Amino acid sequence: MSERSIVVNRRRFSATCTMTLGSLSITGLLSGRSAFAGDLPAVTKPHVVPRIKRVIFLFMHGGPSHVDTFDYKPLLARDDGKPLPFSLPPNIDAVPKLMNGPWKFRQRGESGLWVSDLLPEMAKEVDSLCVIRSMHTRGQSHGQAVGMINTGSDNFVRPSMGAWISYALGSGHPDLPAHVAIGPATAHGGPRNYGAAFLPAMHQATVIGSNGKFGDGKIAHLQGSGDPGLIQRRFDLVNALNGRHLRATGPDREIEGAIEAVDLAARMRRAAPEVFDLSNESAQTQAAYGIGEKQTDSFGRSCLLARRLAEAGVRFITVSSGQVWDQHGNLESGHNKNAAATDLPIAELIRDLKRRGLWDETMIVWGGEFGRTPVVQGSNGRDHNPQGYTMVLSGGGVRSGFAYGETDDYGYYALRDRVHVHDLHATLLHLLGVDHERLTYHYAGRDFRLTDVHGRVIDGILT
Amino acid sequence: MRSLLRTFAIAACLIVPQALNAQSPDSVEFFESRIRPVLIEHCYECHSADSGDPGGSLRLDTPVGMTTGGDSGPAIEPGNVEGSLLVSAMRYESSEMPPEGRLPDDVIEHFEKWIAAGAKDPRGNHEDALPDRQEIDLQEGREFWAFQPIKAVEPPVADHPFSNGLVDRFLYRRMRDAGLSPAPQADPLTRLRRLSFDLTGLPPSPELQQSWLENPTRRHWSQIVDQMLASPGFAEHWARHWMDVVRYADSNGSDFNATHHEAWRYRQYLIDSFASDRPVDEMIRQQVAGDLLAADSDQERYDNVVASTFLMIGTKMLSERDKDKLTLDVVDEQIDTVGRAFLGLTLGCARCHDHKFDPVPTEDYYALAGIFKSTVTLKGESQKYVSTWNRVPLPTSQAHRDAVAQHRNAVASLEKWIKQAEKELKALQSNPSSSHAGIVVDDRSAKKTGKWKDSTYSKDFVGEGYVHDDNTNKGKATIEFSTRLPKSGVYEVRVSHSPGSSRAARVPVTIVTATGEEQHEFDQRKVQIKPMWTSLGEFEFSSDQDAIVRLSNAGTSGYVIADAIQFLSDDLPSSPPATNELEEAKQNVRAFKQQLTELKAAEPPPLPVAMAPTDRTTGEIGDSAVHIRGEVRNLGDPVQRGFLQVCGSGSASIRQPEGSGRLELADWLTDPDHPLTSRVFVNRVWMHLFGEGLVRTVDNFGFQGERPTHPELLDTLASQFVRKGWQLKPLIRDIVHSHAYNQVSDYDTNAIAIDPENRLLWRMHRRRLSAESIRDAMIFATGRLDRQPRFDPMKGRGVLVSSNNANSKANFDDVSQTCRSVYLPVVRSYVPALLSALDSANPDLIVGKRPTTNVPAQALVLINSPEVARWAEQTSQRILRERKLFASRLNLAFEICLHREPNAEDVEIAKRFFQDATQDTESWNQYVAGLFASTEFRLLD
Repeated sequence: MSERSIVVNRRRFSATCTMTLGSLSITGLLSGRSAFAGDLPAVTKPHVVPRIKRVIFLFMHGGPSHVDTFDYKPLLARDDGKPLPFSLPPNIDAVPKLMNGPWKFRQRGESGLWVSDLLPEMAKEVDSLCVIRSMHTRGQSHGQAVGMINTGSDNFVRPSMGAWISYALGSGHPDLPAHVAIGPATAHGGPRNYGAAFLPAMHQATVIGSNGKFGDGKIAHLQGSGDPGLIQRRFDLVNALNGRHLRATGPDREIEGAIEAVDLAARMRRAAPEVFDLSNESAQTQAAYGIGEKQTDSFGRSCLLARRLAEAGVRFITVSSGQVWDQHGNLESGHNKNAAATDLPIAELIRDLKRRGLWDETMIVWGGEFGRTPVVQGSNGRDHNPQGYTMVLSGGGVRSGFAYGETDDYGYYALRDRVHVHDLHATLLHLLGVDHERLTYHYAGRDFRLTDVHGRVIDGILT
Repeated sequence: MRSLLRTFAIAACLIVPQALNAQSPDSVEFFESRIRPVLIEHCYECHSADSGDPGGSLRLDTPVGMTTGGDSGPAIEPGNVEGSLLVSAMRYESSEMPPEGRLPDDVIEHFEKWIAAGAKDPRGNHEDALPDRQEIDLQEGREFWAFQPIKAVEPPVADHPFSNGLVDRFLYRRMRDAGLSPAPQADPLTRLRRLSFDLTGLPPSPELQQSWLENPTRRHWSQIVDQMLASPGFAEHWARHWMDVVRYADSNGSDFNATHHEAWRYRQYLIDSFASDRPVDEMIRQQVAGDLLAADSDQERYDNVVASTFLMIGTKMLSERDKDKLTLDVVDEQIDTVGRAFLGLTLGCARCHDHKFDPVPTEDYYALAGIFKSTVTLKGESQKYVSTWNRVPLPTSQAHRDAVAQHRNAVASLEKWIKQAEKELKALQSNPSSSHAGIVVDDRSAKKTGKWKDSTYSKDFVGEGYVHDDNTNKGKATIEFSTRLPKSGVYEVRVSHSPGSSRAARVPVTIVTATGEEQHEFDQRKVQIKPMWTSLGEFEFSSDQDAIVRLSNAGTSGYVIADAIQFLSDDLPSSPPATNELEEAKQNVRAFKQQLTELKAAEPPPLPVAMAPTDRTTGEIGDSAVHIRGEVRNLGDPVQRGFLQVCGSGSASIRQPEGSGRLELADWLTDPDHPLTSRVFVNRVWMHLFGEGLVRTVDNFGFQGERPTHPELLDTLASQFVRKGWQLKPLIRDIVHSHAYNQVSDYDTNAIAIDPENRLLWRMHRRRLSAESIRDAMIFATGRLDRQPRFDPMKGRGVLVSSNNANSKANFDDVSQTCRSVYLPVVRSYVPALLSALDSANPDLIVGKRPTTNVPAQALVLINSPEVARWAEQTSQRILRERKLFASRLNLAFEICLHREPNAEDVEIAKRFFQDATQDTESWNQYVAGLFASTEFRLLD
């Protein structure tokens, strides 16, 4: 097939179709550049000055205990075993008896923020952390709360945060997706938590691994099995057949779009291995992420890949721990195990981004769908706590070595400077240069937003 | 600005504390010092003229704003503290204001005092004191085209050779006015392929292609159309269209991916209904209220109930612990589905406030909500906090019912027998003397001092277990086995202990014999008599006093085990008869269990149930109050159950509802004069045949939707559809006989310039096949497509399709089966990549029109997925098997993959691809794979 004729056709087609802008394929065609730009990004001119270019969400699925990590409560230690002096929220299995956790809290770094011994590595980076201690969310069960943090809705099917950001900004790499999920859970909504819902399908995450496991670390169907020569031959044949089809039909946006997609797929095949191949990293770097150590290998690989993707221009990367933080019993052994798997890779990710000068333009978000009760469940566990918990930010545009907001004396309810998940979403968009009230998508008769009708930018944490 | 205000407020408090205390709550000074600063600092950001769109339409920067209030009603009632929403919101009792944190108690107390004292407020009222809240004008709303009565009109006269039928006459009139004319008819094979995929979702067979090519007449066309409409493929394909709209799925998805074991019955109901051309109004009535409809036969009852599964299969947040909220969310999902599926209206928008665009006041939403709140959708819990849904028994034969009852009784009685037998066995086992020779004293009846730990870790022991000293508290633990022997004389004493290297080597033991105490030691690391006995020697005992054996852990190193003591003598049987008894008991249990296994294997099929709603009981049925801003506990006035006021001129309330009101709703939806139901349905059919609806926003006929391109055509088709009995097949037959349907999809420079989006249908739209058709067509090409229906796809799945944890390994690789795609289970969260990449309907959503995307993932799945590669290989094998010459192989490849003959350019491309390897199997595999991944394969010209 003649490459020239395709090009000519495209030009002619572009010229005739400028009046019908709006189809997915056309703009891809006009720009002729990005596999994942699709429609032009919804936000071509930032609403506010962007402070960061991308987000890495370290999703601690299951809900790590804030009162055993970042929210130090001396009274909880003092009153261990005593009744909770106020009432519990409805529908929980914990009993109103306070339980102090087994980890010692210490003041760390120059900032003197309190971090427990559960997370010794993150504690070392405390001066790079912005600890929000007054988070609250909707959903006493995992499903709702997981939906809230990932999609902004506890009950309805809505696009995920990553999909909104992909839709808003497009990808920063011509041949890689804007939105990647590493090790996402199959439970609690599964694909919904990284899906596009009613946004164009291209904004759903490209998935690596599952359920907190790195797996083979590859994009499905990208390389195919069998002889690369044969696969190339197949690509060439498909191009020849599609070219003939287009010549027979005359300009056609659907066929043009499909041809473009094959071309982009081929480019993605060429671009991805370089980015996805962790062996491009030195042995020293790999070791620093805990790769090769049994406990940290999987999460270490995930974090290292996240850094490589961030570097390559991916906008939103979720690294999921898998649903492991849900210690209704055996808090000590469970949390120790999870911390051992994630703490070092996370701290190294912060250090690595800093070394490479990427930290200032990246936002790391650490946290679960909720926290855990300061009161006991069973003999040694904690129940779900959406009423008050901690999330941690680290990156550009927010204050470092800084704690924001407060829960009550025991860490149950967020009290001062409360931050709802909608507020966190609004703030992340704000840092990316997007006004959460102006990022809308028209569907089923109305404009939808990530923050629904809520959300306020948390001014108090911004630099 | 904010911090300045804060400083001011603090300063004010610091400077005049004494004076403040003295202020009376009904004074202006009190307002200025205690109330206004708080309002400014904490409320004005969202609730003032400067806040743009005030939250909840509430303004707190003017007196009238406070007393009139917003969506929730007045913020304050002067003099009435408890009736003032502002106070309950500040207390975090109703809503939680301000959201960033509860204000200190003393601040709230000031507001209480201020309101109690009459809420004196010196601020002025500006003209724009109240946010604009427009009332919906229903009369004006009814003027909108979609709410106007349907008017059939006489089609314009035929004045073009291609415009003979009704459809073409309407279309041509608009084309002519725009300076356009219809495109010529497409070639026969293009038309046949189009028809076949549109009507059956499958390609035309090579035989049909052949016979059609030989005789491409209008008469033959009609025959083929009728054959296709009568084929099972038609019903399967059109059922799938409707499944998109009703968010069909075989699992709940969401937080708790519960298996919809019974959803398939609804899918089959749809297939059967489209096969028999069941009137669409009847289908709507069945789907909305089937469980309430009278039935003349079991089959009718079955269909009625199964159809109402329609209301049940939306995705739900089953683990929501606030069940009131969950109920409202489910009701909302049902209203949204009914609204969009049947009426093309986005009613969900009216949950929190009047619809912003359409004339649907929030009262109408709650009139409908009352109907669905009076309906049981959720019922019970599958585990704590996790709701499950209502199930309704389906009719079945008496014999079936008897068989199930009989089986249940048989199982119950057998289980009782097993329990009894197990009890007997246990009794025998727990009496150690019966299972061991001589007289045995178990540790359970021994007297212990100090700490002994129970264990069953080592498997050899007497009775239910043994004890050990945990290798601690040496010298403090003793255990005394004592019994009165039946006869005086000499006995051998054995001690039972499981051996092991962790055991103590020198365990002191005291034996109280007829003649006094004797001290011994023995080694617990090994045994003399397997599996667990060590003999301590022979001793004389008297029947007048207890025989006592006492173990101690004094001076031991290692674990001391104590299990049992055995006394043996010649006068006691060495192997007691009880052993037989024990064997017998064991045999009994085994035999009963075997019987139970066999019985269960022969279980009759369970009594059929449907995933279906029922009405609530009379006392629980009732109207719903408006939920202000959609909030669960923020209630306004109750609204009489009913429908949408804008759809008719009469009253939309149900005067005396019979039950929930669903029957009345079903009748209202299918009223022949309803302006929306038939228009919306006919438009969907048009879209499936042309690629775009006459109203392009098929799920939205409201103000935000598109207007019809051909309103008169739409109305005429809708009114004929209703008049002829709401039947789908005649409607399709009419449309596929039109010239419009049969014209080419060719590009035309002039026409493109006038109507680039082809709204006037001057050519056929080029369309993408559905994901299901693409998959089915590939398997069709292999020659192995299984045309048998599949039932009960989720049989054997548990409550959840996969466990809700990180190690879940659920597998749904059904996409590689050979059945038609419509019969594959639709498991939410597990839609196969092949189908989702090709834009299959997202089962979480109502999908009237599937999106058509072109992303790299799609190209990759077509080129690289193992399933497609396998089907390509099978197809290539078939081609190589059935034909020998290269040219005829190429012909066959085109017939079964692209449903046409290859032209010169195709041959040229093939030759270049094969070069000299025309016989090479691998090359053929690759060639077919290329055809499968090509645009022509998945597009309908």
